[in-house]
Amino acid sequence: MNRRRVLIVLGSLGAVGLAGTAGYEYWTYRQMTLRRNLLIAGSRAAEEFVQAAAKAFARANPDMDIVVEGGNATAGLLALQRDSISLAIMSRDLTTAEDRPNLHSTLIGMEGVAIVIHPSMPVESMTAGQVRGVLAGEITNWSELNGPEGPIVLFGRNQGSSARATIEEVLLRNTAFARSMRMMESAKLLNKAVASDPMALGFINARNLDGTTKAVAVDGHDINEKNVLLRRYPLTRDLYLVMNSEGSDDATRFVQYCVSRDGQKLMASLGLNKVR
Amino acid sequence: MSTTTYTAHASVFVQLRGSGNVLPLIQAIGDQYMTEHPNVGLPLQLGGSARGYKSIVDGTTDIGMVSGAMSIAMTRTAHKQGVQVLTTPIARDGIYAIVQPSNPVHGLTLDQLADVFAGRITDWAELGGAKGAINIYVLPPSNGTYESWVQLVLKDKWPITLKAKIVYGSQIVGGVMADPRSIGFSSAAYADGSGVGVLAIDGIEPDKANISSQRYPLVRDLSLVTRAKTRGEVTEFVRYCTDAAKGQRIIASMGLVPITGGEP
Repeated sequence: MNRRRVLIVLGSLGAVGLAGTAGYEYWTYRQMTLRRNLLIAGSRAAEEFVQAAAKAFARANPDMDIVVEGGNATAGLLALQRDSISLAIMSRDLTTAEDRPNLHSTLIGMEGVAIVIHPSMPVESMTAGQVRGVLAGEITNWSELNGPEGPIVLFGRNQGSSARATIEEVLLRNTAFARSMRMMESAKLLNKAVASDPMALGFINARNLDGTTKAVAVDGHDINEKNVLLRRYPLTRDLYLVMNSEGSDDATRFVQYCVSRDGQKLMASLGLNKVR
Repeated sequence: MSTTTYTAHASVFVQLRGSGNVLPLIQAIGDQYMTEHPNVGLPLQLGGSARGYKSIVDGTTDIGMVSGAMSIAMTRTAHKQGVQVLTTPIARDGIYAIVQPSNPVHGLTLDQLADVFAGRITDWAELGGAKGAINIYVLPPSNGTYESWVQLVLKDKWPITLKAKIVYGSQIVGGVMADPRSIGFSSAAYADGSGVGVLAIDGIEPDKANISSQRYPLVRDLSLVTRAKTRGEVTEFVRYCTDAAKGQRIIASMGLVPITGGEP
């Protein structure tokens, strides 16, 4: 038996006991059982988007309790398989091994991350391997990238940034960022830092490109909506909600909200590419 | 000095998902389509042919990209749920039987090939080669090329021998290249230009003319699948892919064999 079921069963036993003693508690108990709940867990990297959607969804559904918990994709998927949660958040598609006939994954957004440099730096294009080498601190001089002689000054994003999570998941995997990298609190600050240092290189969510810095092409592909959607630009990540066939109507409605006009507008405001 | 901004134009989306064999075609066609229709976005997802079919049956995607037949289990699920799936071929693709270039065997009959993959012939000596066990390499069952192979070579009658080693994606070519007693299969896209040995089947070489005419027996279609009832934007993109002056021209320019006109 899973934890959620245990808690619900214990809760109702207690409430029934109280209900016998006083009408008020019985009313509380009824209110409690009438409330619906949605438990969503999975990829921490994608949590902020789902968290925001949950907030908006809860406003429209005041009789519902929604809990969104970060963690990781695999754990979320396992919890979903065991019916412990209603929906799993994934920042990648299911692998062949993970896919089961009863699992259904819905794409809710795509995130592209731009590699930005100073507008005066005469480097237009890098391979994904070069970007990886630079961010990991293995490539340290612009001359190694067909640029002028001079050290690369690295700027990154602090823990919790989804652009950072994308770079870690898609590019660095288990490699750490270069120790010299200065971590910025926001995309705005990162843009500012890169725009004011001719030797700078950093990364930001594509939608935070503000015309003060220059994004390099990666593997020959510029970063734009077309190349992100068509999967040509390599520093791209997909966000999914996964439910199982036995999923509740509420889970289905939440997924529908995320791909609705309003839900997608919200995703876009948080920096994702719309996919619906 | 140049700086970069990012603008999202698309307000209507047609999602596609499935086979990596179909992906490059849709990237090329989609690029032109999105230029001609700036309000349309085409998010592409992978996952293999099986995922392509599944996403149409469970309604999580608009268009499945597939390179093989729908599995019997998925056909049953679709039927049970009353989902009618429409298949539109957009290109023709040959599947090669591949061996190490040093292998003295240059051709097999289709029956011999079936016997090898079903595990009934296990030694190269039985096929006119040097004595030694045949090492079989296959793609995973979720791969559209695997589905096609089971259908075209094993006639959906015999399972692939359990001795076969499963290799993922383009690695099958490398696996076969590294093993002098190997045999495997691959879509033309992965094998062309790799230098791997390609077998003639029933004496017919898998060249473009023989694939187009289907004289070469191991030919399958790369297709788009949709629900029979779908949105206008979805139908419009599928039609664009089969348009002789649009999608089909792009497919031909990529060196693939086009198919003009869809099938009902």
